[in-house]
Amino acid sequence: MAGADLKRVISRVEDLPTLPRTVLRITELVNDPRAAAKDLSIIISDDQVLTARLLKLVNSSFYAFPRRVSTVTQATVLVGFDAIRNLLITTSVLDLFPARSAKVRREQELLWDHSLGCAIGAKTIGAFLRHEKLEELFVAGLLHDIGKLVEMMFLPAEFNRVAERVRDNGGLISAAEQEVLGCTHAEIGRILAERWNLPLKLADTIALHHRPLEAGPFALEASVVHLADIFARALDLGSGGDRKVPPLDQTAWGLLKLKTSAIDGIMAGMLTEFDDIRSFLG
Amino acid sequence: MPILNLDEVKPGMTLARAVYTHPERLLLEAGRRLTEKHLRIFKSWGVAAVAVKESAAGEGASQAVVSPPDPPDDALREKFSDVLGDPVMRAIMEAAARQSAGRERRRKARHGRG
Repeated sequence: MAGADLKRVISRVEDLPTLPRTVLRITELVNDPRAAAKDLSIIISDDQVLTARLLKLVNSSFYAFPRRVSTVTQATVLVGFDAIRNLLITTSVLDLFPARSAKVRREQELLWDHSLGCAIGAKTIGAFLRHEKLEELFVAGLLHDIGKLVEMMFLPAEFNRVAERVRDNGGLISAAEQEVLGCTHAEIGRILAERWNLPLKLADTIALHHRPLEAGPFALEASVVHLADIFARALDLGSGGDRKVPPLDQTAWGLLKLKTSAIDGIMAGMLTEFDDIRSFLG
Repeated sequence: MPILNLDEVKPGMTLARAVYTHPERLLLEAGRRLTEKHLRIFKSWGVAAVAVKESAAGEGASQAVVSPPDPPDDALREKFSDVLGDPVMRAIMEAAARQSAGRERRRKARHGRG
């Protein structure tokens, strides 16, 4: 992307929202190896909305614990620090982007469903590969198209032109973004990730989900999200703003060492979980 | 070796591949005949799908395995029209058609009952 274009976009999105203070504090705490479940639950209990969400999540069929979980400390111990941080990032992100009109709201919902589908896909592929950090893959999938949300909210005129081009020419949204904005949602996503001080792994996975091998040490994670994006589109889970499936990066496919016979099982798992989880994140 | 959604797995089927909850944590080894209790435990661990053996797996299995072929519809083909030179993408399209059709059938069955 030309430097001038990126600068122009950055100047336009300068007043991007910041993550709530509670989420930042929790992110710091999760990175602190000495932190205990009690420290985390004190911060969460301070925030009624987060408390309600956490208890709703742990009592949902997603976790299927045999008994009702009624305290934040119980929830923290059962679900784990990483899962809680990821839940909070997830639910906070949507809050930051209030929709302006019914049309934008509809577009946001479709994008959100696509993101959720990709998140579940990344987690399911990760489980198949026995990856150790499934929650991390989930969040990476959920945020991979966050740049598109930024375009909708902060560059509405440009985003409309992008949508028009996709409608008229029928191509991929990235190509239209390149023509209109001089950069793509992946690069805008990186700007947001850096502004939010998200971990480098997450920022790189967001920025490089269409070119996963360039993510260096995080190439495996970026490849998982790259494939999950394709699966979510193939299964019609929401919409990423265009009606085409992007090409599969052959090196990424090779890196994942998946057989085509595994695809059905992964997709079956994705659909079950998507229908299950949508009700409480929606 | 079919891979079935947990809600399609019936007691009496035989597990074709081991089920793990975590890379190192085995839940149930391959070759076990599944019981009602196993399925409950799978559900509580969030297991979404398992691989079952095709033969000698009880009548539940033969029912679940025989499903009509689901060719991709025009909308799905159009979505993939630029990438079908890639055999992996073709496999992804065909799997998506099968799985979406299966989800639709399950939905209809639920509505039919309720």
